[in-house]
Amino acid sequence: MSDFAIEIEGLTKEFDGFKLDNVSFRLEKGSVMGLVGQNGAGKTTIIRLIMNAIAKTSGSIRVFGMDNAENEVEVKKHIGYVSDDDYLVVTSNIKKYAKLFARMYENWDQALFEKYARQWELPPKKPFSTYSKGMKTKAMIALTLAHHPDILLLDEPTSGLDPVARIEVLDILRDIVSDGNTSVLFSTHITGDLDKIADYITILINGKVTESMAIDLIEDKYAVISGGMSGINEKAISRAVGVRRGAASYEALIERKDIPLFGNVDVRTPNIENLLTFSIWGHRSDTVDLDKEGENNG
Amino acid sequence: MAKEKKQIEYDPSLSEEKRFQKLITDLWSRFWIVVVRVIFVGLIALIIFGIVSSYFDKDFFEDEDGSGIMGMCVCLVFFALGNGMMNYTELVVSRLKKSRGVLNGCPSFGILYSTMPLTRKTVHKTSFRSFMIWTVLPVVTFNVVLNVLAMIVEGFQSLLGIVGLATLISLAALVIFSVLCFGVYKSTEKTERIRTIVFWVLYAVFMGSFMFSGFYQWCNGVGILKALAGIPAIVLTVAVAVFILLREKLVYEKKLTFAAWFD
Repeated sequence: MSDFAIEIEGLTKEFDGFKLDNVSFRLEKGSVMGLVGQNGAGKTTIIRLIMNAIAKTSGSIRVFGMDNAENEVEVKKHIGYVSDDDYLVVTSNIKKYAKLFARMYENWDQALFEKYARQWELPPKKPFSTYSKGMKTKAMIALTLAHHPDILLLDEPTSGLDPVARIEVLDILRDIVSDGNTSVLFSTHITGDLDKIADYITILINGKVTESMAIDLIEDKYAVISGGMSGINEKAISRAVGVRRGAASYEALIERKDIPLFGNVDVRTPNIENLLTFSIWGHRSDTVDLDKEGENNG
Repeated sequence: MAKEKKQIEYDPSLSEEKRFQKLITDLWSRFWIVVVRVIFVGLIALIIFGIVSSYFDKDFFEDEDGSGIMGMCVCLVFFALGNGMMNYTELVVSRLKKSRGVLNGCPSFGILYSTMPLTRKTVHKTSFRSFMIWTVLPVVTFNVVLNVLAMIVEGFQSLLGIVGLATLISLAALVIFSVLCFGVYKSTEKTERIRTIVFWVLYAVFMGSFMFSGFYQWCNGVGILKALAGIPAIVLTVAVAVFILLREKLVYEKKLTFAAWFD
């Protein structure tokens, strides 16, 4: 069996007006990968392709070494899927759904399911129509975890949740991944969701992977520099991943090895959000105007 | 002490298809599935029994008998379609969520099934099986009974045109619905709409035909309809059933091997 939970090579999917272009990355067994990008970058498309919900145009997707479409049943025994778009029929209830899952999954653990349902206060017989968005997400997580998946595909599970529900769901996910046995692909555009969870990050911009790396290596590879516009080195700045320019100052994400090119600048360690936002700005145009950004934000 | 319900467990001996069938039963509850099936099958049996008992020893037929036969044919086709489509699970686009769903447009089931250890082919095959058993089989039986009666009961000679027409209409309904439900590889919102329109157009034509006096008399005078009744109609009925089955097994199911759920 493969050492990787998921291996994606040259994955391409073409829609009208959008192309997921030659995406490749690998998810190690027992690790957590954050799949980040703006809305519409292609995160959900990748997860739907892994689930064989939509057909790829080209490339390969292997789950534990098996082709995801040719071995769909075997592959899906290992996968737990939680998305923002729920599959809960409003007139049904979680008790009934637990029966369906028990029927379909060899490793279904009724005791574990009941434990989660009690812990998260999910009324077993009340129809899903009475559940809040947060309760529906917790219901899907309870159903998913109770069949002991080896891989969790989380497609923006915190999207649309109120702050309290979001923190509760993230706490649950942190508990799950802390054992290190479950491989997780966590798609989100909220980079804060990945704090203390993710081991790896894959950045997706306009359907292309711009970076896929271990989070620990971000600070070894990249740096955020800032300085006055008067001292900017235009030749060096063209090597930056992304730049924000203001009237008097600028910020840029650069490769750490390029720091000497910039002379006297302030240097700080980037986080996941810096990596994502500067990558987006770098692809959107050469620069982003700091003043305009400030006006927009203010 | 109250008897505790047995916990459902994964049965490794079941095939993927059997497991999915049990899932459908869990979903709708065995009780309601049996109740609805009994009602539908009872009504269909009643219609077939009605044909045999009402017309078996008649020496002379009137126009009302023609409309009676057509009415029975119409009701039977609709009961059979309703019965066969009850756990109909072809994937279609839902107008509500703009995502694809199953069971007459409920997208949540489609998404749920697509996340489970199931293939689209299995879900499709289960639907087709239901269509064959609960829709095609009753219609074939009705047509065979009707046309055998037309051959052995002398009085039917004056109603052969109606018998031919009833056979044609029921077979047309089968072919149209089998193509719209199982023959369109890329099922879309458009095909869902066509299916609904065809259903109501057929219904309107069937019902409208009763309102025109002389329609049945005219039908009974059409040579080709008269010639169809009897052996040719039975052969055509069997041929249509075989065509539907072979088309599904040899063409459509092959296309669904390794197919993605919502493409």
